[in-house]
Amino acid sequence: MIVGKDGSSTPIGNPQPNGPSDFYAGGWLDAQTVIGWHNSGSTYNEMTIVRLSAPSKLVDLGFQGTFVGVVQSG
Amino acid sequence: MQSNVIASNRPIPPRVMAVMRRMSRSRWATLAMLLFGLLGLSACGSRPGPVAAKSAVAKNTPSPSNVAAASGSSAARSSGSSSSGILLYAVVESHTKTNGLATYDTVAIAGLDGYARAKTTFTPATPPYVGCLGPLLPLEAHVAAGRVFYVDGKGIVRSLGLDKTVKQAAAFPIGPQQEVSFAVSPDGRHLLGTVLTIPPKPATDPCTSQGNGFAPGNWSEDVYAADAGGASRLISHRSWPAGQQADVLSFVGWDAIGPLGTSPTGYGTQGGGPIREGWYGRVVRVDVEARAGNSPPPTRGTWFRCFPRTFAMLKPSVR
Repeated sequence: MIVGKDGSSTPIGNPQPNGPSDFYAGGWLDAQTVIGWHNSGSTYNEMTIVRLSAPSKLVDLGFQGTFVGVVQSG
Repeated sequence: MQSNVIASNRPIPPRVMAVMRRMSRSRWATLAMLLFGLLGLSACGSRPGPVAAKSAVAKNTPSPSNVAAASGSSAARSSGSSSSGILLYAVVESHTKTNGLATYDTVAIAGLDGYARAKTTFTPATPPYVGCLGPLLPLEAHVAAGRVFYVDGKGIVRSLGLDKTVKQAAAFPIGPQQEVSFAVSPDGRHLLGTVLTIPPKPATDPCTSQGNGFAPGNWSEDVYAADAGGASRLISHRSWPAGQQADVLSFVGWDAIGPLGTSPTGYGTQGGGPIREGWYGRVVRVDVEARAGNSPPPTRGTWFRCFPRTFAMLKPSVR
Protein backbone atom coordinates (compact mmCIF):
# COMPACT_ATOMS: atom_id res chain seq x y z
CA MET A 1 0.00 0.00 0.00
CA ILE A 2 0.96 3.60 -0.39
CA VAL A 3 1.40 5.36 2.91
CA GLY A 4 1.22 9.14 3.10
CA LYS A 5 2.98 11.41 5.51
CA ASP A 6 -0.45 12.31 6.85
CA GLY A 7 -0.96 8.72 7.89
CA SER A 8 -3.24 7.88 5.01
CA SER A 9 -2.91 4.57 3.27
CA THR A 10 -4.08 3.49 -0.14
CA PRO A 11 -4.06 -0.12 -1.27
CA ILE A 12 -2.31 -0.99 -4.49
CA GLY A 13 -4.09 -3.30 -6.85
CA ASN A 14 -7.12 -5.05 -5.50
CA PRO A 15 -5.98 -7.00 -2.46
CA GLN A 16 -8.50 -8.98 -0.53
CA PRO A 17 -9.65 -7.31 2.66
CA ASN A 18 -6.84 -7.55 5.18
CA GLY A 19 -4.95 -9.67 2.69
CA PRO A 20 -1.51 -9.21 1.19
CA SER A 21 -1.09 -7.02 -1.84
CA ASP A 22 -0.64 -8.58 -5.24
CA PHE A 23 2.00 -5.97 -5.98
CA TYR A 24 5.54 -5.90 -4.61
CA ALA A 25 7.28 -2.56 -4.77
CA GLY A 26 10.75 -2.27 -6.20
CA GLY A 27 11.20 1.50 -6.20
CA TRP A 28 9.92 4.88 -7.31
CA LEU A 29 10.27 5.98 -10.89
CA ASP A 30 9.12 9.46 -9.99
CA ALA A 31 6.92 11.11 -7.39
CA GLN A 32 3.80 9.63 -8.97
CA THR A 33 4.90 6.23 -10.19
CA VAL A 34 5.95 3.09 -8.35
CA ILE A 35 7.62 0.18 -10.11
CA GLY A 36 7.72 -3.37 -8.87
CA TRP A 37 6.39 -6.73 -9.83
CA HIS A 38 3.28 -8.79 -9.51
CA ASN A 39 2.49 -12.45 -9.87
CA SER A 40 -0.26 -13.62 -12.13
CA GLY A 41 -1.27 -17.25 -12.11
CA SER A 42 1.79 -19.33 -12.79
CA THR A 43 3.86 -16.34 -13.85
CA TYR A 44 6.10 -14.64 -11.34
CA ASN A 45 7.87 -11.35 -11.31
CA GLU A 46 6.02 -9.54 -14.06
CA MET A 47 7.36 -6.01 -13.97
CA THR A 48 4.57 -3.63 -13.23
CA ILE A 49 4.02 0.04 -12.59
CA VAL A 50 1.38 1.73 -10.52
CA ARG A 51 0.49 5.39 -10.81
CA LEU A 52 -0.74 7.13 -7.70
CA SER A 53 -3.56 8.60 -9.72
CA ALA A 54 -4.94 5.09 -10.26
CA PRO A 55 -3.50 2.91 -7.49
CA SER A 56 -5.86 0.03 -8.15
CA LYS A 57 -4.64 -0.35 -11.71
CA LEU A 58 -1.53 -2.45 -12.23
CA VAL A 59 0.15 -1.76 -15.56
CA ASP A 60 2.02 -4.84 -16.70
CA LEU A 61 5.20 -3.87 -18.53
CA GLY A 62 5.21 -7.19 -20.32
CA PHE A 63 8.46 -8.70 -19.14
CA GLN A 64 10.10 -10.21 -16.11
CA GLY A 65 12.94 -8.43 -14.43
CA THR A 66 14.22 -6.58 -11.43
CA PHE A 67 14.30 -2.81 -11.12
CA VAL A 68 17.74 -1.26 -10.75
CA GLY A 69 17.20 2.48 -10.84
CA VAL A 70 16.09 5.51 -12.83
CA VAL A 71 18.47 6.34 -15.64
CA GLN A 72 16.69 9.38 -17.01
CA SER A 73 13.91 11.44 -15.49
CA GLY A 74 10.96 12.21 -17.69
CA MET B 1 24.01 -10.00 15.79
CA GLN B 2 25.12 -12.11 12.92
CA SER B 3 22.71 -12.18 10.04
CA ASN B 4 24.05 -14.86 7.83
CA VAL B 5 20.67 -16.52 7.88
CA ILE B 6 17.90 -14.27 6.72
CA ALA B 7 14.26 -14.56 7.54
CA SER B 8 11.42 -12.11 7.91
CA ASN B 9 7.78 -11.74 6.98
CA ARG B 10 8.47 -8.95 4.49
CA PRO B 11 7.87 -9.13 0.74
CA ILE B 12 10.37 -11.39 -0.91
CA PRO B 13 12.37 -10.28 -3.94
CA PRO B 14 12.01 -12.52 -7.00
CA ARG B 15 15.41 -14.11 -6.88
CA VAL B 16 15.24 -14.77 -3.17
CA MET B 17 11.87 -16.38 -3.79
CA ALA B 18 13.59 -18.63 -6.29
CA VAL B 19 16.19 -19.58 -3.70
CA MET B 20 13.44 -20.31 -1.24
CA ARG B 21 11.55 -22.49 -3.65
CA ARG B 22 14.73 -24.40 -4.24
CA MET B 23 15.46 -24.72 -0.55
CA SER B 24 11.95 -25.87 0.19
CA ARG B 25 12.70 -28.94 -1.83
CA SER B 26 15.86 -29.63 0.07
CA ARG B 27 16.52 -31.33 3.31
CA TRP B 28 19.24 -28.75 3.77
CA ALA B 29 16.86 -26.23 5.24
CA THR B 30 16.24 -28.15 8.42
CA LEU B 31 19.82 -29.22 8.74
CA ALA B 32 21.05 -25.71 8.15
CA MET B 33 18.99 -24.49 11.05
CA LEU B 34 20.71 -26.96 13.29
CA LEU B 35 24.09 -26.08 11.93
CA PHE B 36 23.74 -22.36 12.40
CA GLY B 37 22.23 -22.84 15.79
CA LEU B 38 25.43 -24.57 16.77
CA LEU B 39 27.39 -21.66 15.44
CA GLY B 40 25.46 -19.25 17.58
CA LEU B 41 23.66 -17.59 14.70
CA SER B 42 20.04 -16.63 14.84
CA ALA B 43 17.18 -16.37 12.44
CA CYS B 44 14.90 -13.52 13.38
CA GLY B 45 11.18 -13.72 13.91
CA SER B 46 8.52 -15.79 12.31
CA ARG B 47 8.56 -16.13 8.60
CA PRO B 48 6.34 -17.52 5.91
CA GLY B 49 7.71 -20.64 4.36
CA PRO B 50 8.21 -20.75 0.64
CA VAL B 51 4.99 -22.57 -0.02
CA ALA B 52 2.99 -20.29 2.25
CA ALA B 53 4.31 -17.19 0.57
CA LYS B 54 3.59 -18.57 -2.86
CA SER B 55 0.08 -19.53 -1.92
CA ALA B 56 -0.64 -16.16 -0.43
CA VAL B 57 0.34 -14.47 -3.63
CA ALA B 58 -1.56 -16.87 -5.81
CA LYS B 59 -4.78 -16.25 -3.95
CA ASN B 60 -4.55 -12.58 -4.72
CA THR B 61 -3.67 -12.74 -8.34
CA PRO B 62 -5.15 -9.69 -9.98
CA SER B 63 -7.90 -10.19 -12.47
CA PRO B 64 -7.14 -9.46 -16.10
CA SER B 65 -9.31 -6.36 -15.93
CA ASN B 66 -7.12 -5.12 -13.15
CA VAL B 67 -3.89 -5.46 -15.07
CA ALA B 68 -3.49 -3.34 -18.15
CA ALA B 69 -0.68 -4.37 -20.43
CA ALA B 70 1.57 -1.52 -21.42
CA SER B 71 1.01 -0.56 -25.00
CA GLY B 72 2.87 -2.77 -27.41
CA SER B 73 4.98 -4.49 -24.83
CA SER B 74 5.88 -8.12 -24.76
CA ALA B 75 9.33 -7.93 -23.25
CA ALA B 76 12.03 -5.42 -22.59
CA ARG B 77 12.99 -5.80 -26.21
CA SER B 78 14.91 -3.35 -28.23
CA SER B 79 13.13 -0.44 -29.79
CA GLY B 80 14.08 2.34 -32.09
CA SER B 81 11.87 4.75 -30.18
CA SER B 82 13.31 8.08 -29.20
CA SER B 83 14.66 8.24 -25.70
CA SER B 84 15.00 11.98 -25.30
CA GLY B 85 13.01 13.55 -22.53
CA ILE B 86 11.19 10.46 -21.35
CA LEU B 87 11.49 8.53 -18.15
CA LEU B 88 13.84 5.59 -18.50
CA TYR B 89 14.88 3.04 -15.95
CA ALA B 90 17.32 0.15 -15.73
CA VAL B 91 16.39 -3.45 -15.15
CA VAL B 92 18.19 -6.76 -15.00
CA GLU B 93 16.65 -9.87 -16.46
CA SER B 94 17.32 -13.56 -16.09
CA HIS B 95 17.14 -16.09 -18.87
CA THR B 96 19.66 -18.45 -17.33
CA LYS B 97 19.77 -20.93 -14.54
CA THR B 98 23.13 -21.65 -12.98
CA ASN B 99 23.39 -24.42 -10.43
CA GLY B 100 19.61 -24.52 -10.49
CA LEU B 101 19.17 -20.85 -9.66
CA ALA B 102 17.98 -18.04 -11.86
CA THR B 103 20.89 -15.70 -12.51
CA TYR B 104 20.83 -12.35 -14.21
CA ASP B 105 22.32 -12.28 -17.68
CA THR B 106 20.78 -9.22 -19.30
CA VAL B 107 20.70 -5.55 -18.45
CA ALA B 108 18.42 -3.08 -20.16
CA ILE B 109 17.33 0.52 -20.10
CA ALA B 110 13.62 0.59 -20.75
CA GLY B 111 10.72 2.99 -20.91
CA LEU B 112 7.22 2.93 -19.49
CA ASP B 113 6.08 1.14 -22.63
CA GLY B 114 8.22 -1.85 -21.67
CA TYR B 115 10.54 -1.43 -24.62
CA ALA B 116 14.28 -1.38 -24.16
CA ARG B 117 16.19 1.59 -25.55
CA ALA B 118 19.49 -0.13 -24.81
CA LYS B 119 20.16 -3.69 -23.89
CA THR B 120 23.07 -6.08 -23.55
CA THR B 121 23.84 -9.48 -22.16
CA PHE B 122 26.60 -10.58 -19.84
CA THR B 123 28.07 -13.70 -18.27
CA PRO B 124 25.91 -14.55 -15.28
CA ALA B 125 27.30 -15.15 -11.84
CA THR B 126 27.86 -18.69 -10.66
CA PRO B 127 26.21 -19.01 -7.27
CA PRO B 128 28.77 -20.28 -4.79
CA TYR B 129 28.27 -23.15 -2.43
CA VAL B 130 27.38 -21.60 0.93
CA GLY B 131 26.91 -24.58 3.15
CA CYS B 132 23.43 -25.92 3.79
CA LEU B 133 21.76 -22.75 2.59
CA GLY B 134 20.54 -21.15 -0.59
CA PRO B 135 23.00 -18.50 -1.75
CA LEU B 136 22.12 -14.82 -1.65
CA LEU B 137 24.02 -12.92 -4.29
CA PRO B 138 24.99 -9.25 -3.98
CA LEU B 139 23.38 -6.64 -6.19
CA GLU B 140 24.73 -6.92 -9.71
CA ALA B 141 23.74 -3.53 -11.10
CA HIS B 142 23.56 0.11 -10.09
CA VAL B 143 22.66 3.33 -11.86
CA ALA B 144 25.06 6.27 -11.90
CA ALA B 145 25.70 9.21 -14.18
CA GLY B 146 22.99 8.26 -16.63
CA ARG B 147 24.33 4.76 -17.18
CA VAL B 148 23.66 1.38 -15.66
CA PHE B 149 26.73 -0.33 -14.25
CA TYR B 150 26.68 -4.10 -13.95
CA VAL B 151 29.09 -6.82 -12.92
CA ASP B 152 29.38 -10.13 -14.69
CA GLY B 153 30.23 -13.58 -13.40
CA LYS B 154 33.93 -12.90 -13.83
CA GLY B 155 33.90 -9.74 -11.74
CA ILE B 156 34.15 -7.32 -14.65
CA VAL B 157 32.15 -4.14 -14.15
CA ARG B 158 30.83 -2.50 -17.27
CA SER B 159 28.33 0.24 -17.97
CA LEU B 160 25.59 0.53 -20.55
CA GLY B 161 24.46 3.91 -21.77
CA LEU B 162 21.42 5.21 -23.56
CA ASP B 163 23.59 5.47 -26.66
CA LYS B 164 23.92 1.67 -26.42
CA THR B 165 27.65 1.89 -25.75
CA VAL B 166 29.22 -0.53 -23.30
CA LYS B 167 32.32 0.55 -21.41
CA GLN B 168 34.46 -1.40 -19.00
CA ALA B 169 34.60 0.45 -15.70
CA ALA B 170 36.61 -1.79 -13.40
CA ALA B 171 37.65 -5.35 -12.72
CA PHE B 172 37.31 -7.15 -9.42
CA PRO B 173 38.14 -10.62 -10.73
CA ILE B 174 36.48 -13.63 -9.17
CA GLY B 175 36.62 -17.36 -9.64
CA PRO B 176 34.89 -20.39 -8.14
CA GLN B 177 33.54 -19.92 -4.63
CA GLN B 178 33.82 -16.17 -4.87
CA GLU B 179 31.23 -13.44 -5.20
CA VAL B 180 31.59 -9.75 -5.84
CA SER B 181 29.72 -6.66 -4.71
CA PHE B 182 30.35 -3.17 -5.98
CA ALA B 183 29.22 0.43 -5.76
CA VAL B 184 29.64 3.37 -8.10
CA SER B 185 29.90 7.01 -7.13
CA PRO B 186 27.02 9.17 -8.39
CA ASP B 187 29.30 10.78 -10.99
CA GLY B 188 30.31 7.35 -12.27
CA ARG B 189 33.99 8.09 -11.76
CA HIS B 190 34.84 5.93 -8.76
CA LEU B 191 34.06 2.34 -7.86
CA LEU B 192 34.47 0.14 -4.84
CA GLY B 193 34.22 -3.60 -4.78
CA THR B 194 34.40 -6.51 -2.42
CA VAL B 195 35.42 -10.03 -3.28
CA LEU B 196 34.26 -12.61 -0.81
CA THR B 197 35.96 -15.99 -0.93
CA ILE B 198 33.97 -18.83 0.57
CA PRO B 199 35.45 -22.15 1.73
CA PRO B 200 34.85 -25.11 -0.57
CA LYS B 201 32.22 -27.79 -0.40
CA PRO B 202 33.34 -30.90 1.48
CA ALA B 203 33.50 -34.23 -0.27
CA THR B 204 31.18 -35.86 2.24
CA ASP B 205 27.62 -34.91 3.11
CA PRO B 206 27.98 -31.31 4.21
CA CYS B 207 24.65 -31.04 5.94
CA THR B 208 25.00 -33.29 8.87
CA SER B 209 25.24 -32.00 12.38
CA GLN B 210 28.96 -32.58 12.24
CA GLY B 211 31.31 -29.89 11.04
CA ASN B 212 30.43 -26.47 9.71
CA GLY B 213 29.23 -27.34 6.23
CA PHE B 214 32.49 -26.50 4.52
CA ALA B 215 35.69 -28.27 3.62
CA PRO B 216 38.83 -26.99 5.31
CA GLY B 217 39.68 -23.55 4.08
CA ASN B 218 39.49 -19.91 4.93
CA TRP B 219 36.99 -17.23 4.20
CA SER B 220 38.50 -14.03 2.91
CA GLU B 221 37.28 -10.60 2.08
CA ASP B 222 39.12 -8.20 -0.19
CA VAL B 223 38.01 -4.63 -0.67
CA TYR B 224 39.08 -2.81 -3.81
CA ALA B 225 38.87 0.71 -5.13
CA ALA B 226 39.13 1.82 -8.73
CA ASP B 227 38.64 4.84 -10.88
CA ALA B 228 36.37 4.21 -13.83
CA GLY B 229 38.39 2.66 -16.58
CA GLY B 230 41.44 2.25 -14.37
CA ALA B 231 43.09 -0.57 -12.50
CA SER B 232 41.65 -1.71 -9.21
CA ARG B 233 43.74 -1.49 -6.07
CA LEU B 234 43.41 -3.53 -2.92
CA ILE B 235 42.58 -1.39 0.09
CA SER B 236 41.65 -4.03 2.63
CA HIS B 237 42.17 -7.74 3.14
CA ARG B 238 41.29 -10.12 5.89
CA SER B 239 40.66 -13.82 6.25
CA TRP B 240 39.26 -16.14 8.86
CA PRO B 241 38.80 -19.90 9.33
CA ALA B 242 35.74 -21.72 8.03
CA GLY B 243 34.32 -22.31 11.47
CA GLN B 244 34.61 -18.71 12.55
CA GLN B 245 32.11 -15.96 11.82
CA ALA B 246 32.88 -12.41 10.73
CA ASP B 247 30.91 -9.35 9.71
CA VAL B 248 31.00 -9.62 5.95
CA LEU B 249 30.78 -6.33 4.06
CA SER B 250 28.83 -6.00 0.83
CA PHE B 251 28.43 -2.79 -1.13
CA VAL B 252 24.86 -1.85 -2.00
CA GLY B 253 25.00 1.72 -3.25
CA TRP B 254 26.57 5.16 -3.14
CA ASP B 255 24.65 8.31 -2.36
CA ALA B 256 25.62 11.97 -2.04
CA ILE B 257 27.26 11.30 1.31
CA GLY B 258 29.27 8.29 0.28
CA PRO B 259 29.30 4.55 -0.25
CA LEU B 260 26.72 2.34 1.39
CA GLY B 261 27.13 -1.26 2.39
CA THR B 262 25.59 -3.92 4.53
CA SER B 263 27.33 -5.59 7.43
CA PRO B 264 27.00 -8.18 8.72
CA THR B 265 25.76 -9.39 5.35
CA GLY B 266 23.79 -12.58 4.92
CA TYR B 267 25.22 -14.85 2.27
CA GLY B 268 22.60 -17.55 2.43
CA THR B 269 19.03 -18.22 3.39
CA GLN B 270 17.10 -21.12 4.73
CA GLY B 271 13.83 -19.40 3.84
CA GLY B 272 12.09 -16.13 4.46
CA GLY B 273 12.96 -12.94 2.72
CA PRO B 274 14.79 -9.69 3.27
CA ILE B 275 13.16 -6.39 2.54
CA ARG B 276 15.05 -5.66 -0.62
CA GLU B 277 17.05 -7.78 -2.98
CA GLY B 278 20.75 -7.45 -2.38
CA TRP B 279 20.36 -5.67 0.96
CA TYR B 280 20.99 -8.64 3.18
CA GLY B 281 22.07 -7.00 6.39
CA ARG B 282 22.32 -3.87 8.43
CA VAL B 283 23.05 -0.83 6.29
CA VAL B 284 26.33 0.88 7.02
CA ARG B 285 28.27 3.73 5.55
CA VAL B 286 31.76 3.04 4.34
CA ASP B 287 34.48 5.58 4.83
CA VAL B 288 37.06 4.97 2.15
CA GLU B 289 38.96 8.15 2.82
CA ALA B 290 39.91 7.30 6.37
CA ARG B 291 43.55 6.69 7.10
CA ALA B 292 45.20 5.59 10.30
CA GLY B 293 45.94 8.52 12.53
CA ASN B 294 43.87 11.10 10.73
CA SER B 295 40.51 11.69 9.11
CA PRO B 296 38.39 10.86 12.15
CA PRO B 297 35.23 8.97 11.35
CA PRO B 298 31.96 10.81 11.10
CA THR B 299 30.00 11.17 14.28
CA ARG B 300 26.85 9.55 13.02
CA GLY B 301 26.07 6.16 11.65
CA THR B 302 27.99 2.97 11.36
CA TRP B 303 31.17 3.44 9.46
CA PHE B 304 33.83 1.17 8.23
CA ARG B 305 37.36 2.28 7.78
CA CYS B 306 38.99 0.83 4.74
CA PHE B 307 42.72 1.11 4.56
CA PRO B 308 45.41 -1.46 4.01
CA ARG B 309 45.38 -4.35 6.40
CA THR B 310 42.83 -2.84 8.72
CA PHE B 311 39.13 -3.17 8.75
CA ALA B 312 37.18 -1.96 11.70
CA MET B 313 33.53 -1.39 12.36
CA LEU B 314 32.79 1.49 14.63
CA LYS B 315 29.93 1.59 17.05
CA PRO B 316 26.62 1.28 15.27
CA SER B 317 24.16 4.06 15.87
CA VAL B 318 21.75 3.70 13.00
CA ARG B 319 19.98 0.80 11.42
